[in-house]
Amino acid sequence: MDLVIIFSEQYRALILSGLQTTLFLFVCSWLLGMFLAVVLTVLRALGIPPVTWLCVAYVEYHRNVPALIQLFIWYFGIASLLPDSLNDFANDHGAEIVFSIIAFACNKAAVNSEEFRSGLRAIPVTQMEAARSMGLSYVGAMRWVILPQAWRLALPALMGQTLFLFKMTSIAAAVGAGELTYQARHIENMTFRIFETFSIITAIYVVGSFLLMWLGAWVGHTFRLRLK
Amino acid sequence: MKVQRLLGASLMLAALALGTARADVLADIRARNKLICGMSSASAPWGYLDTKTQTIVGYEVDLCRMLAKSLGVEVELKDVSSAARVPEIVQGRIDLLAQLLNWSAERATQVDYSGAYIREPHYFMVLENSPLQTVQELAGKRIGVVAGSFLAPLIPPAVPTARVVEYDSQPSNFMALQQGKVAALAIRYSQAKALEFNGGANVRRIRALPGVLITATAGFGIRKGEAEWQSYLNTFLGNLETSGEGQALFDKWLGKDSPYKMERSFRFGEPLH
Repeated sequence: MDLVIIFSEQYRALILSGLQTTLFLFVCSWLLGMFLAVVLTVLRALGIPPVTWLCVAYVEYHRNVPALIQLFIWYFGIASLLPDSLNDFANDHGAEIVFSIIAFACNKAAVNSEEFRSGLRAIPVTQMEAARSMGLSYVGAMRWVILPQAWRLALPALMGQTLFLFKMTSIAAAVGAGELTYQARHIENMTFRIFETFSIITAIYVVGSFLLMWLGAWVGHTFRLRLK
Repeated sequence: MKVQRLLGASLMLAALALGTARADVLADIRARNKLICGMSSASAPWGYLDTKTQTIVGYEVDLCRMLAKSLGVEVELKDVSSAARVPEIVQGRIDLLAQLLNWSAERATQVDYSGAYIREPHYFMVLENSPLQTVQELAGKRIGVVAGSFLAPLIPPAVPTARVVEYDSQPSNFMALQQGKVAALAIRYSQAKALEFNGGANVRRIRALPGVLITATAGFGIRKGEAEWQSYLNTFLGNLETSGEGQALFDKWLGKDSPYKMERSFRFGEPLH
């Protein structure tokens, strides 16, 4: 083990830029994924059969096809269907990153919407009925009675998915996005110090995951239901 | 007892981690009656899936088979990724690497090499209808290369402002060029031509920009300190040269009997540098 080489200025810069890209990928795909998940959950809750079928098909595709393949389909497949002008624009502005974010967000939207749905289903139907009979509208009942409980119930599962997404960003290396794993491979290629390089990368991922877990625990604690 | 066993186990683990607890490779091969040959199955015409026969074929595959035959053992072709191939040798998971491992000073500190079994030029290659005519025009453009390739560090000196994009495999790299995701590839000539050829009528034609990026010589990669194994390989390669089998191998995959019509510019078994 000779960690000094990896910490030399040149390689440190690569690791930092990789970390930056990893965080960018993670934050963007988390936000977009959450937004899409909410949209999906609402669409499915509407209970209109064709819409529900489409939602189910969407969720099943994203849950049952390996994430790497989904990424390839976005990067090489769907990209080739876009008009050339749009592709040229994307290629000049980091197509790897853009398509990785879209692929990860779509993937997480499917899984997160299922977590939302299970949170909603955990609330007994009678609560909705009781709220409505007290004079609350459907939206009011959702806003004041159902959702405040549902999201707290879904939180642990969503935290798990968030951690998973953080680590999933590493597969963007396969399409050339310059994130942490990509840079590690690059450094390893130049120095042939695979153990040293990946030890450092592992440590960074572990620290990131612990920070996320801590954040999740803090959110869970801060917003816990105080029953009187 | 327990403590002893624990101590033994941890010593073994430590030895494994350091990669020292191994007998010599040649004896290992004879003992298990099998040669484990690290190669790539996504690298035409070196090692690739022949869609007609559904078997892995290629120049390096034939080399591995000929070597196993000379040893009188079976051959196991083990697909190793370009990024993981040096660690695979260092950790002794393969007996040798036949995956176009070009000689470089950094690599030579980690692995030993046999003599040569190929030398050929590498170029920047672009689409036939690309407006690019010279290497200088690549300034500011995106250039694709396979992750783990020795070509990656050579691109910035050749074109300082280019953006290097590393892909996992040569087919991904080639596809990126086809789709215009990169303006050029830094690639081995035969590999680029084979991808173009095997793609059939669906792929866009490609050409090399004038000016060789580098001409490199590759040999088998083996674990350091295996002198006996190294000299066996060198004798084997030398025999290919004298018996004419080497020429036949070259003609079949790269030379006059192949679509690429390349000329041989090396002798089998000659020193790599």
